Amino acid sequence: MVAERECYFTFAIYHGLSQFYEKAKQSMSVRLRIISAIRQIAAEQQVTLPRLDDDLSLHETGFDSLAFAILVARLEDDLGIDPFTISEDASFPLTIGDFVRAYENVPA
Amino acid sequence: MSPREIFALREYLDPNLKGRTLSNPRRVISLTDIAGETCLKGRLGELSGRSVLLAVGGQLLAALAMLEIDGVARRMLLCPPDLNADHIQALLEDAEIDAVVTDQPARWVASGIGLVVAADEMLQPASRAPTERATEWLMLTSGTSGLPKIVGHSLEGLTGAIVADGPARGAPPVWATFYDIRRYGGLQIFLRAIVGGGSMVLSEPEEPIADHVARLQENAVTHISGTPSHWRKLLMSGAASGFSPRYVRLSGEIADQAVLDGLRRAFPSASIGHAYASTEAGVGFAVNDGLEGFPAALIGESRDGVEMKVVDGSLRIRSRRAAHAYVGRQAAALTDQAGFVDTGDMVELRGDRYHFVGRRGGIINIGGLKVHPEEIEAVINRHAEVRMSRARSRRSPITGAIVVADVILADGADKDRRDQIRDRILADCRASLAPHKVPAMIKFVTALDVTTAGKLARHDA
Repeated sequence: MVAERECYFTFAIYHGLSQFYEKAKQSMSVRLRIISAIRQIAAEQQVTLPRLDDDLSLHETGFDSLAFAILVARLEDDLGIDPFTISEDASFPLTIGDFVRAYENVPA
Repeated sequence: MSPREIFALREYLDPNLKGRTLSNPRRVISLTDIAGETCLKGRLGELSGRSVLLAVGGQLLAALAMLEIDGVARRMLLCPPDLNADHIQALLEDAEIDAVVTDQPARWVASGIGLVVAADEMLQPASRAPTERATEWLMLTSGTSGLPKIVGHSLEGLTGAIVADGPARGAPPVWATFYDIRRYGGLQIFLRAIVGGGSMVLSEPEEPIADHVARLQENAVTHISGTPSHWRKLLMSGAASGFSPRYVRLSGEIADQAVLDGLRRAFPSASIGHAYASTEAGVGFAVNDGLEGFPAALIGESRDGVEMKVVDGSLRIRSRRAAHAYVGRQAAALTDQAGFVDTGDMVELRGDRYHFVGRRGGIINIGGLKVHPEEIEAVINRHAEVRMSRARSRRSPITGAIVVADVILADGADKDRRDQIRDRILADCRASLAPHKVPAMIKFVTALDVTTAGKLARHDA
C-alpha cells in the first residue's frame, strides 16, 4: 500500500519535471528562432545589430517598422502565431525581452 | 445609311471559300456550309429588332449564334460563361433585353423575358437571311468584383484593327485563342478568323493543356493569342514542343520581358508580339519588336484612328475602335469630354519606351506607400528559374500591410537551390526596387489561380 503511494508520488514529480523541461525547451527554441530571424533580417536589410540582450530597446536594434513587420510575418509562418494581432489590447513590446515573451506567452 | 453599306458577320461567310472550319473537342463545323444553315431552328426572324441576351454554355454554339444574329437583332449581349447569377437581373434591365437565345430554354421560361429562342449545335438548313441593320454588340467588363459594366460596340469598331492590319499573307490562317470568345480578347480572334477568311479552333474550359495543344497541332493552328498568364501556363506544362504557330500574340495583362523571351525560345520561328486592348478602349496598338513596353513615339500621334496620351500616369485612348458607351440606367460616361477613354492602366516612361506598371485600382498600400504588384512581379519574373509570380499584400500589425510574393519555379528545385534562388531574387529586388516594394517573404508554390478571363487572380486588388 505504502509502496504504491510512493510510486505515484515519484511519478508525479517526474511528470511535473518533464513538463517543466519541455516548456523550457520550447521557450528556448522560440527565443532562438526569434533571434535567428532577427539576425537574418538584419543581414538582408544591412542593419548592424548591437548585442541582443533582453533589456535592449527595440528602437536600439536599428530596425525600422518595415523590418519589424517582416519579422512578425516570418515568425507567424514559422511559429504559427502572431501575438500582436491575436489580442486587441496587446501593446507593442519595448524591449527584446518583451518581444520574446509576447511569443512565449501565447498558448500554441 | 443605306442597307447596302451595313456589313454584318454573315457577309464574311462565303460559300465559295472552301475548307473553313470552326471546331471544339467534339465537333467540327464547316464555315463554308453554314451560310445556308440555322442554329435557331429557323426562328431568326423573331429576333429582328430585338435586344437579345446570348446565354449559351459553350463557345461553339455562341459563335454560331453570333454569326446568325448579327445584322438582324437590335443589340446582342454576349454572356460570358462565368456570369454571376445575382447580376443577371440588373444586366437584363440595363440592356433592355427582350429576347434570350439559350441552349437551356426551360431555365428562362420564368425569367420574365417575353421571347425565348432555343439554340442547338445541330444545324438545320435555312434560307440565307438578309442583313437588316447594324447590330449593337454588348460585352461585359471582366472586373472581378461587383456588377460588371455593359460596354457597347459596333461591328465596325470591333473589326477596325483587323481591317487596318489587312489580310494575313499566305495560306488562310487557322486561328486559336486561350480566351473565351465572349471576352474582348477572344472575340477579336473569332472576328479575325471570320473576317479574314480563316478557320478557328476554340478553347474548352477544364481541358488539360496537353490535350488542348494536341488539338492545336492536329488542326495546324497558325495564329494564336492569350494572356501572359495563359502563355506561362503553356510554357510550364512542357506541352509546347512540337507546336509551331507562325504568329503568337499576348494581350490582357502586362507582357514582361521574361514571358516574351520564353515564347521566343519556345517558338523561334514565330512572329511574337503583344497587343494593347481593353473592352472599353478597343484595340490600341501592337508591339512586334520583342521588347516589353511600347515606343514613346506611339504617344501623341494618331495612327489608324487611334490617338494616345498619358495623363496622371494613366494611358488615355481616343479611338474609332473604342466602345461607344457604357449601357444602362446609371451608366457613367465612357470617355472624357474630348473623347478619351481613361484605361486605368498606369505607365512609366523609361528612356524612349513606356512600360506598364499596373492597374490604378490594383495598387496595394504598404504603410501609406503605393505599390503596383506587377512592378515587383516583373523583377521576379526576369530570373531564368522563375516561370510565374504573384506579389500581394499581407496584413501586418506593424505597417498595416507588407508585400509578399508567391513564385512558381520553372523546374522543380531542391531545398538548397530554392534557398539560393530566393536569395538571388531578393538581392535583385533590393537592387531594383524601393525598400517597401521588396517582398518580405517569398513562398515557392506549384500553382497560382488564373481567372476565367485568363488573368492572374488578385484577391487583394
